[in-house]
Amino acid sequence: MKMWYESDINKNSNSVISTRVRLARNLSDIPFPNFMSLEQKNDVISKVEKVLLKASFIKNTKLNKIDMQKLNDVEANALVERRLISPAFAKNRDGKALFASEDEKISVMVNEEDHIRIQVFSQGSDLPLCLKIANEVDNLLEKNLSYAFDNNLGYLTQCPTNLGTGLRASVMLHLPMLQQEGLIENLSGTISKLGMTVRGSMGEGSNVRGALYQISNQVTLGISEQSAIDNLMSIVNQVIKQEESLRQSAYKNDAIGLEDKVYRAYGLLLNARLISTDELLKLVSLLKLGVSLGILKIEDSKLNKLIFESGAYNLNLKLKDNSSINRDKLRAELTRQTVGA
Amino acid sequence: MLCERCKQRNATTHYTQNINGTQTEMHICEKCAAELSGQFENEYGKFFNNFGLGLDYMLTSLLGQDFIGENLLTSKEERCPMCQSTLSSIRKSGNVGCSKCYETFKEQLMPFIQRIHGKTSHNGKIPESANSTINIKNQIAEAEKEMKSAIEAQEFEKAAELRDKINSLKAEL
Repeated sequence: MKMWYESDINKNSNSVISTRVRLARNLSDIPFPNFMSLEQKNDVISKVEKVLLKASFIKNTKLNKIDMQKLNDVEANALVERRLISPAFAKNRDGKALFASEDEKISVMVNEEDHIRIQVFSQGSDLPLCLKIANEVDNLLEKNLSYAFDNNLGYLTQCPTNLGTGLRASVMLHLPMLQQEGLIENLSGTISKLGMTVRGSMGEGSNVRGALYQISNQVTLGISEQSAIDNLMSIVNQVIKQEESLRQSAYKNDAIGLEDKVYRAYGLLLNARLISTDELLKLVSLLKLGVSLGILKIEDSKLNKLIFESGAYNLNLKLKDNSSINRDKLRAELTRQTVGA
Repeated sequence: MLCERCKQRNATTHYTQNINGTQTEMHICEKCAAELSGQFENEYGKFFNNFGLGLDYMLTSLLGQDFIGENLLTSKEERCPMCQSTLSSIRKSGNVGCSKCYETFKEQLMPFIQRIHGKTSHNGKIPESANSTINIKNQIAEAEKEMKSAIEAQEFEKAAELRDKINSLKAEL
């Protein structure tokens, strides 16, 4: 089975890695997760399960149940690395369940911060499609369960920051030139004034690894789902435009210097026998930059797969002897296969 | 240009406030700008201790049922009838306890919801079930208006019909 980050076709610029839409929902008459007993949590799980397990969504997609309390730490954190669940959901796993399609494109977290969190991923920036699928799941759940909803406040959520539509849409972007020029902070200031936020996708602050950033909407009350994703898309497009024009002028100013950097990264990735996550992300970032400028040709989805699956926990799943040197060795093997093929 | 707030110093800052969709713009001096933003942060911080620190931070601060300490359980503060949350527990965690809390502490929560989102009324998807409830509520309001004017016009027969209609609509809710 190919995962969503391998199989979807990225119709957008290679600066866009992926897109996620999330809807937060709660059932009426049951306290929010922080105030629930284990019994109530299990009750919500079985209610959701009854609806989801017999349903099928776009392209006949079925959801499977993953009982979080049956996972060990490695398995749970591997899901975090693949972006499928939040770090909070991987902790204290009692009374939590995940329903996910095999390709991990569609998923529902039960008893995370809210009773129900519907998530849909896509490669590239297909926000409308993500929202459409999320709505499909939402409509089905709504038909069978009683949601906590208020005419004025919209969908009621445990944290007031999600009131209204409960929609959080985010786009993961690769912004090496904006990062290099120190422009992310500026960007962040402007974006926050527009009710959106930008933050590091892997690591925070000055240590954003692989130049991977996430832009998402913050305001959820008083704005429709459609406007929220339209606004987000128009910001994302502007950011990409800036990034790409910086890339072009950097290439124009110093073609040989940039080509040298890209090919050195390529050489390292092709030949390294041991590689850490940090080094990998740094080199893949240069490689992606090179691909976007036409310096070399490697399928984007392959590099994205490497980004999603080369974390310590995901490698740990495949290793009998889990030492950091073994992980670095396996990571280097996967990298050579990906980049060399 | 003089500062529109203190009317003493030169205005150097363009200050925009968005409250419930209404934007107010002011040209103010640096000192007033600092005061206004400080005032905002103070009020904000007073309410949700953990707010403004990013979602990650909030997520990690969510773990807590522990704040329903004994002293709070015995205190006389108003409690949500469904989950027993108090305003202090909500402040402390940045999270409400249940959907009913939004009703119980509506008055106190609204200003902060407004601060977060700039608006206070939902403008998105409505679940079908709520949709029909809203419809019925609208119909009731309409019929009540008609009934009032029927009584004023001394058309009691019509008013009685409307009263029956209202009662049967209320039974549907």
